[in-house]
Amino acid sequence: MTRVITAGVDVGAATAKTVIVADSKILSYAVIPTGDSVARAAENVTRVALEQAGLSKTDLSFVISTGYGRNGVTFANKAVTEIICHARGVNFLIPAARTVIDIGGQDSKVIGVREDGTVRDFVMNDKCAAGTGRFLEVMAGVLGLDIEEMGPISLTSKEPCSISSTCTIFAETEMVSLRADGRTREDIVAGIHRAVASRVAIMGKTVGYKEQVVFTGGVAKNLGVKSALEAGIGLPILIPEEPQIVGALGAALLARRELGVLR
Amino acid sequence: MEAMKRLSDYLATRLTELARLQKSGTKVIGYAPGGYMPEELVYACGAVPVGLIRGGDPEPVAESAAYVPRFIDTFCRAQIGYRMLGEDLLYQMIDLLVVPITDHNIKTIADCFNFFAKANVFRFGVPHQKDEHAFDYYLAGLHKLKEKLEEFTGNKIENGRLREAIVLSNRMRELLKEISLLRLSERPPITGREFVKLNHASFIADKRIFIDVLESLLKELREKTPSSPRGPRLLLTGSTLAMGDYKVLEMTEEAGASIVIEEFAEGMRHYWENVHLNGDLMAALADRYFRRRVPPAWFRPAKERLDYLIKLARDFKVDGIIWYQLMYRSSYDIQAFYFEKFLTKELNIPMLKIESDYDVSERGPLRTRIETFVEIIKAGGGR
Amino acid sequence: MYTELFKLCGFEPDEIAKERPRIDKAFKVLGINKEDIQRGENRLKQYLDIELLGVRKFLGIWMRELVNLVLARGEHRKIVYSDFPMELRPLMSMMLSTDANDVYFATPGQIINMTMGQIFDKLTPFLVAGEENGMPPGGAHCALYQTRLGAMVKGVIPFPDLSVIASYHCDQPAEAEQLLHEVYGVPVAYLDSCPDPNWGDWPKFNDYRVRYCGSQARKLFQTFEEVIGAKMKDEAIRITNKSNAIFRLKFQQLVELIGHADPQPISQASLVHAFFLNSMPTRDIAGKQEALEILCGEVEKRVNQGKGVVEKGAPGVFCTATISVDPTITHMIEQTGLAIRIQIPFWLSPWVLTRHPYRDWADMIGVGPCLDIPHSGEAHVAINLANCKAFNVDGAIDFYPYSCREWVPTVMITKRTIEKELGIPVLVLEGDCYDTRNYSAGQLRTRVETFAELLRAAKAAKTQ
Repeated sequence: MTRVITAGVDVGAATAKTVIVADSKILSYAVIPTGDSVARAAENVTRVALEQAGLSKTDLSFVISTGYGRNGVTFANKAVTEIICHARGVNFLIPAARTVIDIGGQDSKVIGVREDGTVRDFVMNDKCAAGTGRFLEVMAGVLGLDIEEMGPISLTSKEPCSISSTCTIFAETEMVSLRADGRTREDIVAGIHRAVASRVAIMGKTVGYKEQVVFTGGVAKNLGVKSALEAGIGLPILIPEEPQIVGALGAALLARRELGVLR
Repeated sequence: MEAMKRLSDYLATRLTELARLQKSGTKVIGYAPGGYMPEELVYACGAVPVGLIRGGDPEPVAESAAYVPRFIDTFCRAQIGYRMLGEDLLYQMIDLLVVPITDHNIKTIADCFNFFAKANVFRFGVPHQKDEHAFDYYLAGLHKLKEKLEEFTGNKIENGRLREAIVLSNRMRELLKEISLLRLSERPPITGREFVKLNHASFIADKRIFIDVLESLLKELREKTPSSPRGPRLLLTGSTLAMGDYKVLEMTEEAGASIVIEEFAEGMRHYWENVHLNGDLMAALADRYFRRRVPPAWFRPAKERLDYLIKLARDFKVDGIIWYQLMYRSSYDIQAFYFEKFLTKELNIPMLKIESDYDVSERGPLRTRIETFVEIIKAGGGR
Repeated sequence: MYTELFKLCGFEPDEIAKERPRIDKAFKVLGINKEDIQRGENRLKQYLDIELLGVRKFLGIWMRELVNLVLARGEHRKIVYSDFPMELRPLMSMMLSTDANDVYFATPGQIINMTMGQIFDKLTPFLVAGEENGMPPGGAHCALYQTRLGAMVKGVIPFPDLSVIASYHCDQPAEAEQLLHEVYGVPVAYLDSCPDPNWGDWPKFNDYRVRYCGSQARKLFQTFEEVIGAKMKDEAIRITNKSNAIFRLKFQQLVELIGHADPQPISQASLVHAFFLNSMPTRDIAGKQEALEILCGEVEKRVNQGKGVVEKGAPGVFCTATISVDPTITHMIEQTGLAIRIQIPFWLSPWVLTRHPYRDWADMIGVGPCLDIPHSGEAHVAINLANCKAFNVDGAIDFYPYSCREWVPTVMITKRTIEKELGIPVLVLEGDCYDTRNYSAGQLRTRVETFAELLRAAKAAKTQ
């Protein structure tokens, strides 16, 4: 009997991911930078994932593309928004998930998820850098830190600064003046994390926070933001092992559903 | 100044006092500012009026994003935020919120308090022009307000008590006016910031105590030895100058100028006009609060406000005007555009328009603009 | 050059030939070139049900008014302007009290939106002119008023002899007109009311509110008499009342027909030119009624044939009809597989049709605001809810124009209320109904696609 093998291709602004799924199991996945060509990135990342699984494109029964570049994936059978895919992916990894907070490089979303993995409600910000990974990147740059250092440093702070500028550009200025005032680096970094978390937490209020709350997206690896989010929403937060591939995973699972294979 | 210190100490205890009064059965009636709420009616039914006029903080504005999109006036979003954040005792404790409906931004406060805070809200309308029909409408609204207050507190508003309350409020306004007029002098004994804080205190303090403070203060100020002239004299105008929103006042002072007179529709108590105590008291209230007050920007014709600003600028001999625009208060934004042409031409002085969304990051840019403006005036330019 | 375009707008060849000198003149002033005309043709074919004669005829009414508007100063003694959201009845009764060759009435912002915006997608120059002359960017000003101010300042359309505006709906029109008055010397008359009902009052209203607005209507008529030199005629009132009611009720039938049909028979974008004739004073009363009759017949035919622009069984939504300049957004929503059953406020909810005791014309106008959305946030939410129920929608799209401070305040209240009362999902979309520069179909696509997917899943779950 032939296995039903599907793939989900998530092309974001920064990274492209492909997940290959069969028999309700992840066979393989790959993550590469998107670069300047969506089509090429989709091809390359899928090839890498296929190679890892020892498969070729012809083994794929159905491919769903998602993410910002979803309409540029030429070999996809269908394009589905990242919100739908994220909900599906999180539901697979953490069936008790009812709220997903996704913070990526350029946008952030809060998704209300049902027991069956469908979306109940959602809200997203893709217009403003504050409340996205971008904010953290800019601030890391100003402080001369690597982005990976930011989270751990923030957790050492005893008294986080309050950074309340609503604009990334001005928050930069605010930070510089905090430095001049003699605030410690960890307090400032903690303040930056709080600022990001606070923006997203308020945005998500219209959707509402129900346990389990799951954090996904590129920024999910940042434990400082996780901690600040927990403080902001007053609930514990779970992070899947590979938060970056949740969208592609969800796409691959939806592809199975397209073929009538449930779960 | 001694009286100011006394006031400051007193205000620190006021919330506790209000809570105590409330516990013993007195109703605390909050109201949205705009100058159309006759506090006298609240006093006359034995309740305590408090103006909800806090502003200047970014957190409540950010919080309001969960309840209303950001394209509503900053001050109005802040009110919603203060209430929903739940940290400000004054905003939580009010038994009833009275909202005189002027424009849609103020209406938003009422809608959000009704729906999200599930608060008791009472609205009555303020028409946008001043003919006799509009006067009748406003008066009818005052009567509805009177009924509501009587029903809410269980106390009838009798003429005697209303008259008493009006006399008291008149006295307060009179004193505020006297103090404000001291700034006509070349060497004002009180700064803009001090006067604004004083004015703001009138929304929270007990009337009698406040009047006592004002009387002492007036005496002190009259006896004060004149200080050196304080640099360029400025008129500060806009829609709302909230309690706590002092950055512009501070920066202007630090730049070496003084704000000698303010004109705001909301946040500042209007003290130029008193209630005339002849005939029907309700009509007298309507006459003072509706007919004889300076119209805000959502009144037509705009010329009345324009002429008033010109008169103020002349009387107080100002060297420049600062227009303080809160984001998304559209009537004021449009008015700023065409008023500037007329004001600068008529008065031959410069005008600076600055914007705020109560955001912390504005400070630097605001300071730069204000300092530059003051420098230009000092150098004799801008004429 | 533009024969094909005007045919798509319901013009007969002989009318085009007859009007050619005027059209040439108007297009020159407007700066419409070959490229614009090609774009216009493409947009009409792509986004509207242009094969329907009714749709073409409605387009024609607006195109005629565009030409009339641009040439008005040379062809009439006096010009009176108003604009959305001013009620039509006072305008129409004043218009019909004057001679067609003597006084010209128009809602220029709307006219330019429906033509330069919807058809030619060439609104930006007007918006920029409006921004530069009183309504700067960044202040979330109403693009409709930027448009009309910009058009006047650019000299594309004349300044009027009188401007009539409602000053209670929202704060923009009144202050924008004050600017017109103070800076350009245009006499302005306001229809004022107070949006002060208390939460819990709806749908009751009180007499003194009606009387106040009525008194303002009377003042308006007096100003009209003084400035234009014409008195309100009883016949004009009679015709206004009658033709308005007939058009409105027929339009009601049309939206109900479309809203209850599956599949959705025509694109909602095709209704926009018909609906906004409810606030644009045109003397072509017979023409607009005829267009409506034809459209109703054509839509009925499609419904009977089971023909549609969205697939049968698609989830149905309400959408706020504030997408008036950009048909691409409505089109995108329908392309994601959502049937837009009703656009708000196309449908007259039961309260609006309530009987009331007012018989004097001014008071009849005065009662209008008391029954409608702008008057009260509570009314707005209630009307949204009523639309959902009447058309049995699976979801709601509250597309709010970010610069409209009348619409913006109740967006989240609507969402919570509909979700709670009806248990259906609500998508809140931020956009601009008159300015396509900041919000486009592309940007909104992800949200709308997600919402469509969400509704399809919910619908599938229900049928299992």
